[in-house]
Amino acid sequence: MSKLIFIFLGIVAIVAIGFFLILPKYQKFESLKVQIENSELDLRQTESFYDKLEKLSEDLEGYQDQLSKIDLALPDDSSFAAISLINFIGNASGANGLNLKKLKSFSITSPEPPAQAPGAPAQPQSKVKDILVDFEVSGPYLALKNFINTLENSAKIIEIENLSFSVEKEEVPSIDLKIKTFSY
Amino acid sequence: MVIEIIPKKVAKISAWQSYLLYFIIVLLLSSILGYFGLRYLIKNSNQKLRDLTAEVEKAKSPERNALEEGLKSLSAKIDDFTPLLLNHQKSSNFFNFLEENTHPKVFFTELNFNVTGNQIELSGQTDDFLTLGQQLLIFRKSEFVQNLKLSKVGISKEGKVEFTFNFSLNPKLFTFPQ
Repeated sequence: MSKLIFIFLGIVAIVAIGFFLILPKYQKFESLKVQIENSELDLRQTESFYDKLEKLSEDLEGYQDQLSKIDLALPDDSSFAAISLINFIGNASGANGLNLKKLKSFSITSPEPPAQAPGAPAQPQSKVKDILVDFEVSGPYLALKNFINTLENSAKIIEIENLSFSVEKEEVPSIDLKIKTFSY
Repeated sequence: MVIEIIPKKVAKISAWQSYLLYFIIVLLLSSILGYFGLRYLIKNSNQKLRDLTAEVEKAKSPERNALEEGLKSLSAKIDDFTPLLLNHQKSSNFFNFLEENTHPKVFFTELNFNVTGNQIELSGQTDDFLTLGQQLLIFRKSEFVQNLKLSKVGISKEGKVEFTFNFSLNPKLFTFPQ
């Protein structure tokens, strides 16, 4: 009779230990195993990601020439880029036989944030700033044509926004030009 | 005194009860061992997880973060630069167009060229209406002239025909040679 009692108590104890002690610990252990697997994957991916970045960085060393051209075309300092552009206009106009008569205005405009539909993922915003210079030169037609050619073929990206002139008899034409370049 | 001739039966414990009891004891001990075993494994796993987290953090060193930021910035710059380069216009082609499409007897006196809006207002003068008509035909025949409109016509004090054309140009004209 006493053995049956022990058997009964033993079964109760086993069930209690299994349910209240072993099961929670087992669940925690399983959860930790998943976390470890995720962390190992994370570590492998992180290492692989930075290895690729380092390789890419090494590869880019071979493209310094092209990268410096991009830096020249899209300089980081917009104020410096504006001054550099005005200086370039002065030199290029003189070199092509034009007379820089007046610098009417210049402005630097930052890009506006892109329109975003509600719920849509955020679009990356361009950091390109526009530098607009409005000026007046005078000189013959051929000089103007060569001057525009010089602007277009410059290492900077220079776009003609507006060009207007009027020719009066026997007078050197006065030309209004509005040009745009870019900075970062 | 009563003498029992027939011996009394001793209560016999069945064998299966003993086996079951031993089995229960073994199972109970195993459960206790299993519990402590799991505690040990959890402790080890926690330590391993902490080590891995530390390694992941170590892998993201400030130098590597700086490299990542630098390359991201460079990539964004290249992405922003590409459309600027692709859309770069050769506006001077306009002068070649004008030289090739001007009647020898036409003299252009005024130009307003809005490159961004692709709107051109071109004024000039010539000797007669026949030449003006020929100039109009030259522009009409050009593959680059679009929306051509003769907006003003008049006669100057000197008897010259004065006129103004409004038109836009095909963007192909301003593409850089590939």
